[in-house]
Amino acid sequence: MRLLELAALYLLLGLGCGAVVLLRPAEPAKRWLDATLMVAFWPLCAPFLLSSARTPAAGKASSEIAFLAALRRAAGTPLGALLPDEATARALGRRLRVAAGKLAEIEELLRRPEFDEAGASGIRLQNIRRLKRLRDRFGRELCELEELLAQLTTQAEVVRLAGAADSETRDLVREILSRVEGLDAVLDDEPRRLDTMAESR
Amino acid sequence: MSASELSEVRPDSVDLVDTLLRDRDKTFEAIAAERDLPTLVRSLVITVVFGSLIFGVALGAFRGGLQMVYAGIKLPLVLLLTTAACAPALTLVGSALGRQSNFRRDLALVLSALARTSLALGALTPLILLGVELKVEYHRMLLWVVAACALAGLVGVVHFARGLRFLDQRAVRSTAVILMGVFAMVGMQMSWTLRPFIVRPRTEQPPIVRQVEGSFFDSVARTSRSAMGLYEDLEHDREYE
Repeated sequence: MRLLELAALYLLLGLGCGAVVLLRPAEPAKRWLDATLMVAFWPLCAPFLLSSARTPAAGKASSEIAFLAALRRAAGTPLGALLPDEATARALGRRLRVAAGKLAEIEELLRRPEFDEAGASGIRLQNIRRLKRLRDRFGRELCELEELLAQLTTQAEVVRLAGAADSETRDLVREILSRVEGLDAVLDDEPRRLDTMAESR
Repeated sequence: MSASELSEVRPDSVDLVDTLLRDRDKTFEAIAAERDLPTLVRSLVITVVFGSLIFGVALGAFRGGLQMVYAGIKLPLVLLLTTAACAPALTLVGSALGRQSNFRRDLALVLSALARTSLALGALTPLILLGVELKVEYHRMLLWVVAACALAGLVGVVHFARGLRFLDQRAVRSTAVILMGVFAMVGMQMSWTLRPFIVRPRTEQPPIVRQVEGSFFDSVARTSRSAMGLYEDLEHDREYE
């Protein structure tokens, strides 16, 4: 195939991709810009502009990334001495990702018609309520952890500019690490706690 | 597209350039979390186009006239088409070496490294314009350009290697070396195919592209010899004199 034929084929595919972008509902300015970029550089832009903006996997991974990023930012500061090594941090990050994944899984389950409380009774109703409690508790844990990570990020900047880490910072790092380590226990404890409650009744 | 419509999309790119220069980790975080990648990639491609276009126009200014337009169009094409051809290799090499590979993330990382390279090229443009103004001899000018490109490339490679490490710490060095090799070979051939970017001022009719002949390495060796005053009487040398 000659260079000219190759260029014509490239342009044809680009025009096709550009037309798809133009037909999508979006702001006119962005639509035209995207279409122009598509025509010229469709191999680079198509994977991003023709697919959904955010995949579910991305959501699951973001907590892990935020955690690792917060640790990395803090590593270059006097806080570094208090932080876990890279392998431990990765393991904790994975645990965080698994936790976020489990939460998403529970939410997906609860969206199903058979997990609707209306019309449910007996063991089914108990299970639905148990799942809801689990989701709320787990979601709260993750939210609090995200807030602590945000605190760690700001604290790392303060320590970097103001000097050595104080006891408050040490406590914060310890709390974050123990919270991440304890995420599994939240899921493990909940059924046991509920069983104990049922037995005591 | 109207001016008001253009101003609506401009802040994304301006913010991104700022972030790319000031806080590299923030860009890596956005890529790793796949946070609003379409906006990020749109801005990165625009940054690459503008940075390399400015440098390309400066290269064309050595001869002036139509060559400024040709070089200004061709240089962004060389960079972005090379990326399009090479980015899938990063995902494949990463997967083969046991890294956590993801095509969209890898492509965004390569584009961010390229955007940084283009910004460096844009920053080095005054040096090329100085050479044009001082009427530096043709072969010496080529060496100036190679040095500027090497420096800008180094900026991009450092960014790329740090990004690889940020995304996954496994097999960073081997992945970076293999991808740089692939990128260099494809990039050289792409720029060789779309040459010339610099032509002598006395060239009457600058060509859009030349016939493919010899290799990139032959040309570097010949240019180095010519810069030392050892000229070879080659047919294609005469063609643009």
